[in-house]
Amino acid sequence: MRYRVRVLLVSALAMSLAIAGCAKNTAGNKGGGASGPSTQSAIIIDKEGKSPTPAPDVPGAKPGGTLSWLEDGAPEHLDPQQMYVTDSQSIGSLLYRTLTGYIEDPGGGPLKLVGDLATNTGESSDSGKTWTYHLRDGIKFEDGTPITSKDIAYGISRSMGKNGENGPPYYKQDLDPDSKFTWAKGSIAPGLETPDDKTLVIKFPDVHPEAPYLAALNSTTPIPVATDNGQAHEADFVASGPYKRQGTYDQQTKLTLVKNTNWDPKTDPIRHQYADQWNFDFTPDRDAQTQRVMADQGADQGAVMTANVAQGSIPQVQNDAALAKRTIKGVGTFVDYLAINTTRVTDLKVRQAINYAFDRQAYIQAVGGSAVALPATALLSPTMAGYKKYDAYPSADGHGDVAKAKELLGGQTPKLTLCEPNTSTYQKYAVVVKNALERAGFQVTLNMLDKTAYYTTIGDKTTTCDIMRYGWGADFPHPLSTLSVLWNGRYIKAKGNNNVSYLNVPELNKKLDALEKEPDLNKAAQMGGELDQEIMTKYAPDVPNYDIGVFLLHGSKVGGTFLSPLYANANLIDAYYTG
Amino acid sequence: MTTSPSSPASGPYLDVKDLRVRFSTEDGVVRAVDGVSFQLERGKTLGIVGESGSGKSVTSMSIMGLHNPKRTAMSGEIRVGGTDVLKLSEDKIRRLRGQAMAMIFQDPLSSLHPYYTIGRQIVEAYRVHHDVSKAKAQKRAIEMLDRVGIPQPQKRFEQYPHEFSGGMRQRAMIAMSLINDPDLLIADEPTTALDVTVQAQILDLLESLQKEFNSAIILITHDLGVVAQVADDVLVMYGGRAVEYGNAEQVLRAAQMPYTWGLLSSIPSVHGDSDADLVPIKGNPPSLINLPPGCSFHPRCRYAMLNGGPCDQEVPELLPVQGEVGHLVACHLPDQFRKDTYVNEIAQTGVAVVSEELA
Amino acid sequence: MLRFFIRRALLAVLTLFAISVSTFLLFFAVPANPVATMCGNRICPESTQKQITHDLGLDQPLITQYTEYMKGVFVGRTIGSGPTAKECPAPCLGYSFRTGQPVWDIIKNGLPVSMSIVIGAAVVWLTIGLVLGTAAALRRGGALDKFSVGFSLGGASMQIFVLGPILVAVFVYGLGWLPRPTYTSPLVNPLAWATGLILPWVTLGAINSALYTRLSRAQMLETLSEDYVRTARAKGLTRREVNYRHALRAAITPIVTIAGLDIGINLGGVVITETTFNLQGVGRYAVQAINDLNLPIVMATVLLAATFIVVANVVVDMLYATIDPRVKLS
Repeated sequence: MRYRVRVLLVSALAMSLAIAGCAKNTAGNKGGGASGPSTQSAIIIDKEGKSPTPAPDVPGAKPGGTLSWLEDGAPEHLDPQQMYVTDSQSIGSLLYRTLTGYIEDPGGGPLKLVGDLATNTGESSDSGKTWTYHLRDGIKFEDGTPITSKDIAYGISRSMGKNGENGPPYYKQDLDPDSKFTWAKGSIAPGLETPDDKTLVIKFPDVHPEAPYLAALNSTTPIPVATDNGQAHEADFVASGPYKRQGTYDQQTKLTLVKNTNWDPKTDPIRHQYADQWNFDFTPDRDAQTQRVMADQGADQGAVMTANVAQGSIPQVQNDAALAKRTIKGVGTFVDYLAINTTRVTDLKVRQAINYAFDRQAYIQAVGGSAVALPATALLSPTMAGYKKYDAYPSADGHGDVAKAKELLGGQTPKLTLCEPNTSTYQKYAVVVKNALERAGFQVTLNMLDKTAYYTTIGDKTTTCDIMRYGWGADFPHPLSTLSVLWNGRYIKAKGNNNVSYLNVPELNKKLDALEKEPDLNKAAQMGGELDQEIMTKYAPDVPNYDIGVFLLHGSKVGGTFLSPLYANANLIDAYYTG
Repeated sequence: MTTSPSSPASGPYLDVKDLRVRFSTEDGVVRAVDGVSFQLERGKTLGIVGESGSGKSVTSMSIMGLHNPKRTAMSGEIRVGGTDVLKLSEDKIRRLRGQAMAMIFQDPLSSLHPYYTIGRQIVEAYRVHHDVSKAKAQKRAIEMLDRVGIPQPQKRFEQYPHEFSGGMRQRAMIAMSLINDPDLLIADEPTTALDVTVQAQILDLLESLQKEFNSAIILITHDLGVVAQVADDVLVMYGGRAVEYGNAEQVLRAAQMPYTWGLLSSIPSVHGDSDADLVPIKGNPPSLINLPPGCSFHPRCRYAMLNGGPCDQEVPELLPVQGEVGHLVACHLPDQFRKDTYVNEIAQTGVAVVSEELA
Repeated sequence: MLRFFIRRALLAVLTLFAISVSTFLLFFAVPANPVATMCGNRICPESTQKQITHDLGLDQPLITQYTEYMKGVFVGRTIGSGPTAKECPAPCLGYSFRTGQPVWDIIKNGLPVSMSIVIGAAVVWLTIGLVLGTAAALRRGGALDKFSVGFSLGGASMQIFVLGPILVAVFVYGLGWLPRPTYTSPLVNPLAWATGLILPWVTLGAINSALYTRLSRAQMLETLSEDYVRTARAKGLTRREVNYRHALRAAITPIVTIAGLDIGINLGGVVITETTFNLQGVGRYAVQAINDLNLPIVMATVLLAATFIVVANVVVDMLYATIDPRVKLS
C-alpha cells in the first residue's frame, strides 16, 4: 500500500528542523525509541472459518462516548475501490467489510486472516487458480438490504475500471492480465461467478495462492450496482461495517460516523462497535495534533493522532510518564532503501562495500532520531509475516565499517552517481550518504532530480543513477508483495519499474517464482525471511536504510487502541471511550 | 442663545489691552504678540497690516479663542462686548464663536470642508447656535447665499466647495460667517487668494454688509491698498508689536514709521511706472523667537540711529504723534525728521494711489 | 459612472485573462509530471498513467486545454471522452487531480472560511486602528500616543505564525477560555462561528491594526491642522463635532480605500493565517495544490485571488468616489 506522501513529506521536513538533542541510539534500541521484533511469526490463516462471532470483547471495553481522529488533510479517497493509502484504509476499517479481513493482535502477535463477509479465507481448487467464497448469513448494508455475492463481484469489477484507478492494481492484473476487459457501470469482470447470492467464485487465469490476501483489499467491498454513483461515491458511500456516515461529507474538513444499526456483530469476527460516534477532523497539522492531544482537553481526550508527535515534543513525551502511557509507538510498514543499480554497479564487492561504508546511524539522526526511524538491515519490514532480523554487513556502532569497505574495494575509488528527489530534506540526506561513502574512497556525485519526476526517472531502465533512494510499503502480509515486486528480474520493463536495482538473476527469479506459487502461506512467509537474507548476502542490490517509526499519542480517554501493524495508525476497531 | 451679548451703551465693542501671546515650541518660546492694544466700535473697520509673522493673525485667533491653551500662554485683556474672553472657559467662548464673532479666512477652498456641501456647512454653522429645524436653517442659509450675491442659491446650496469658483467660495464663506448676525467679523486676508476684480467685489460686499448689519470688522491684510479701500482705523504690526496706530487718514497719508513707509512703497502704483515705483522692503521679517534687540525693525530700517543710538538698544514705546490726535507710533526717530522724510521721500510713491482712493 | 464601471470591468477581464494564461504557462513550464504525482510514492503502470493522462485531458495541445478550461468556466464542459467522460457543469473549474472532486466544490468549501477570517479580522484591525490612532492623534504626546507608537512598531515586527500559536497556547490550552480555532458556518451556529474564529481575527487583526493605528494617527494629525478644521472651530462647533464630524470624516477616507485593497489582498493571501490555525480555507488548498501540482486547484485559486484584488480595486475606486465628492469617475 502507499504511504501517505503528504504526511511523509511534512514530517520529514519537520524532522529536519530539530535533530539536535536526540539521544544517540544504539543497536539495542533501548530508551524511548520504538523497537521492532527480531522476527515476525508467520501469519495465521483461518482456513476453516473457526474464528468466533461476534468478535470477543476487548477487555475493559464499554460502549458509548465519542472518539475522534486528527489528520492533516482529508484522505484522497473514501470510495472503497479507490482506497490504497493507509489513512483511508484505517477509516475504511470502520465503514467497509471485505471478503476476508485481518484480526490484529494488540499484544504484537501474528496477524490472523479470517473470513469477513465470507465464512472463511476461501477454498481453492484447480491448484490455486479458482477460489470459492461462501457468504455469512445476516450480512447487510446500512439501509438493511442484504449483501449478496453479486455486490462483491461488482465491487471487484468496479475496482478494475475508472473508479478503481487509484486503488490496488492486483485484480486488474491477475483477472485481466491482457487488459481485455473494459469496465462500464454494472458490468462484471470475467472470472467472477455468482452461482447464487451466497457464493462467489473467483477464477484467475494463473495460480494465485495469495488470493486470500487479495480478498482482504478494499477492492472486494460490496457495492450494490444501484448505489454506484461514480465519482460521487467518494462522499456518498454505502456502509457495510459497524459505522456509517452522518450528514454530508465535504471531502475536506470533517466526517462524522455513527453506529450502523444494520451491522450485526454476530456476523463479524473482526470488528466492534463501542463508541457511539467517530469524528474525523481533517484540519490539524502535525504541530496542532501534538498540541491538542498533549493538552488533552474536552473532546480531544478521545482523540488519536495520525502524524507522529512533533519533533520538538518527542523528548517531552518520552520523559513524561503520563504522556508515555498514551503513546502508540513502534515500527511502521514502510521501509526506506538505497537501491544500487546492479546494471551499472556490476561488481558485487563494490555493492557490498557500499553496504559496509553506509552510516546508518548518521542517516537516522538526520531523519529525526530513533522515535521516527529505526535501523533497517533486512529488506522486509519487521511487520511482514516471516520477517527475519539479520545484518549481512554489520558494524560495531551502527556507523558502518569503513575498514571492511576499503578492504573490499582493494584500493579502487569507484565513481558513483547518487540520485535523490530535489527537496531540502533529501538534499540533506544525500550529503549524509555522500560523506559516508567517501570515507571508504568512493567518489560520489549528487544528482538531485525534480521531486515529481523522480520515480519516473529512476523507474526508467536506462537511468544513469547508480544509487537512488527508494521506499516501499507492502500491500499485504505476503513476502512476495515486497520481494517479488522489488527484486524479481522477470518483471523488469522499459519504464515504470519498481525493481530499481534492476536485479535480474535467473537463480533468484526462480526462487521468487516458487515463493509466489507456494500454496502454503505460512511456508511462503518463512521462505520470504530466508530469501530476504539470501538476496542481501549474495547480491547486495540495496542498502536497507531505515524502517519508518510510528510515534503517536492518543487522548486519555481512548482505550483499547494499539499500533495497527497493517496501517501503521491507531487501531480503530478495538478502540473504546473510557468515559 | 439666540441673543448676542449686549454691548455696553458706551465704549468700543472690542477692546484689546496689552495682549501678549506666547507659544512654546521645540526651538524655544515664540513671542507671537507682545503687548498690543486697540479698540474697535460697531460699524467700524479696523485694518491690521503687516507682513506674515507680524502677529496679526495670531491676534485675531486670540480674539476668537482658537489657540490651543496647552501650548499657548496669553495675558492682557480682550473684551468683546464687555466680556474678557481670555477669562472665559472653552465652552463659553465656543458659544461666542460664530455667534457674537465670526471669522473668514484667506483660502476659501481649504477653509471649507471638501466632503460636505456648502449648504450643509452653512446650516451647521446656524444650527450650532440656533435650536431650529433643518428646514428653517436651510431656508435661512439659502437667503444668506442670495444675500452675498450667489446666483441660483437653491442649486448652489447642494453643491460642494470644489464646484464653486474662488470668488463664489469666499462669498459662501462670508454667508456662513454672517448667518448668525455677528457683532464682530474678523476677515483674515479675505481677498489675497482672489483675482483683483473679484477682490474689489468681495470688499464691496463686506462694506455693504457692514452697513446693513452694523458689525465691527477686523480686516487683516498685508496690502495697504485693501486697507485704504475699507478701513476706518489702521494698526500696523511688526515682530508681534504694534508699531503704528491711527485712523486711515493718519496712517496712510501721514505715516510716521519707516516700516509703514516700506509698506506704502511696496504698493504698485496704478498711475506711474510700476517697475520704478515699487520699492520692496529689504530683508526678511524677524524671527519671533530671537527678536532683534531694541526696535525690532532696526536691521531693515534705512534711517535707524545706530552706534550708541537708541534703535538697536531700546524698544520704542507706542507714543502719540505731535499734533495728530489718536495717531500713535513706536519709533525713536525725531518727530520732525519723520514728517519731513514722509513728505520728501514717501508721499509721491504709493501714497498717491492711496490718497486718490481715499478721496 | 456607468462608463467608468464598464471600462473597469473590461480592464478587470483583461487582467484576469492575462493571469489565467500566465498561470497556465507557468504550470506547464515546470518540468513535472502531475500524473506521476498522483501515483504517490511509487510507480504507476504505464497503462494507468496513460489512462489518467487522457482522463485529465493532459494529452491535448496546450491551447486546447486552455480553451477547454475557459469554456468550462462559462458554459461547462465534458472532461475526457468515451466511458470515462465526466460532465462538468458551469462554472466548471475542473476536477482535482488528486481526489477527483470538483474544484468548484472545493472553492465553495474554502471560500466562506477565508472570507470569514479576513472580514472578521478587518473589523478588528479597522476598529483598533481607528480608535487607537484617532485617540492618539487627539492626545498627541500623551501616554496613549506613546503607547500607540510602540504598538505600531511592535505590531509591524510581529508575525502571524508567532503570535497565533502563542495566543492559542495561552487562551485555548492554558486558560481554556476559548475553543480551538475552528470554522463553523455562521448560518448553522453564529456563536460557534464567532468563538471559533476569534483567535485568527485577533491575531491577523492585531498585526494589521498596527499599520492602521499609525495610518489613522498620521491622517488625523494631518487633518487636524487643516484649514477647514479651523473653520469648524471658528463656527463654534463643540470639540467632539470638530474632531469626529470634520476631522475624522476627512481622515478616514484614505484609510477606507487602503482597507478595501488590503481586504482584497488578504483574501488572496490568507494562507499563513489558515495554516497557523489549521483552518481549511482557500489559501491552504492553494498551497497543498501547488505542492501536488494540482493544476485545476492552482488555476482556480490563483484566479480567485486575482479576482479579489481586481474587484477590490474597482470597489475602492467606486467607494472613493462616493466618500470624496471631489473625485469623479470617468
